[in-house]
Amino acid sequence: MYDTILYPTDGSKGADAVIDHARDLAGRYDATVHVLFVVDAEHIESGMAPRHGEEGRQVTGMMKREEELAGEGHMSRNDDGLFAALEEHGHEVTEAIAETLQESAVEAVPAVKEGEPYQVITDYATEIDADLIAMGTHGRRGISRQLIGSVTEKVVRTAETPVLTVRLDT
Amino acid sequence: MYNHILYPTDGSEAAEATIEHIKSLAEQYDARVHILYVVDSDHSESSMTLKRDSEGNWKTGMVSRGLGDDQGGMSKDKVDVLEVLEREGTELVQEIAGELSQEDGIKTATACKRGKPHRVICSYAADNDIDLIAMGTHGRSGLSRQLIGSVTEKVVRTAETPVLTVRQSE
Repeated sequence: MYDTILYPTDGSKGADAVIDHARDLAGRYDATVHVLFVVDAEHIESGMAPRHGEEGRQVTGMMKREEELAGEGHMSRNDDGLFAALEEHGHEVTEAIAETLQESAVEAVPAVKEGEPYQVITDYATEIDADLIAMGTHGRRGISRQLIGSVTEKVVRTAETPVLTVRLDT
Repeated sequence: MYNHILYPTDGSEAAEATIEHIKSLAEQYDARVHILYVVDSDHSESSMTLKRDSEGNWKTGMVSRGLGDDQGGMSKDKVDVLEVLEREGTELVQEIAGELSQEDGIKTATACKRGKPHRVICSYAADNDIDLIAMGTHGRSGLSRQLIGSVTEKVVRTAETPVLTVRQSE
């Protein structure tokens, strides 16, 4: 039933439950998990950028105005440095998750793609012939649901592939 | 991971794809499948009712809220509509349960409840230690058409329980 599972991640916290589901299903069905990070070019324009969190780990977040001013001055789609940083962040995130899956004897393949997240996710699912997309979803809580949860909702609405949504711990 | 799987159904014929996933998961995890039918009491009360047509024959139909003239003595008939739906729902879930247990040896439970579908589904899941809700989504294409919130989308948004959505082929 499930040979290929796609796990799209934006690197946000609280995704352990989603990974647990992907891991357990992959273990039971002897499936390969593809871990996908999508570099969202639109968000680069609007100020979404990776930066170092309190513990020095890379996190994705909205850039504050003063950081923007202190930095490049303005950002555009052509900001190769920022794009490269997001891409690198994607590689770090997907490779780390793939490693933890491999430690549980689950075959895992990291991937980083660019574009409109829900579109890239559904296209990639078709490309790898995924049997299941496992994704995190936020509860109905303020703005975060609209920003992040909406990608999952769009995937649920548009993907031909079955989708398993798991509430993120927040 | 999955000891109790909830399968909410409205009796759509196209739920075959969802059933295949449920069978596979139930066998893999030795899970009990709960089959739930929800009689949409709101829907029934506000728009589905019995009335006499111009020839004086009783008929069931959709009645818009504005047409309240001849609804004075309808309450008894409305209850009857709910009872009919409840009887049909009970038959449906028992039939599905019978197939799952006889043909596939899967443990089952059935329920037919009144209320708002997504709320009943979410509260049933919470009350019965459900680990996974498996539901069909209608195969609509194009994102703009799909902004109409379906029961499945509401469940994805509000359930604390993980949700597996399976596209119903048309």
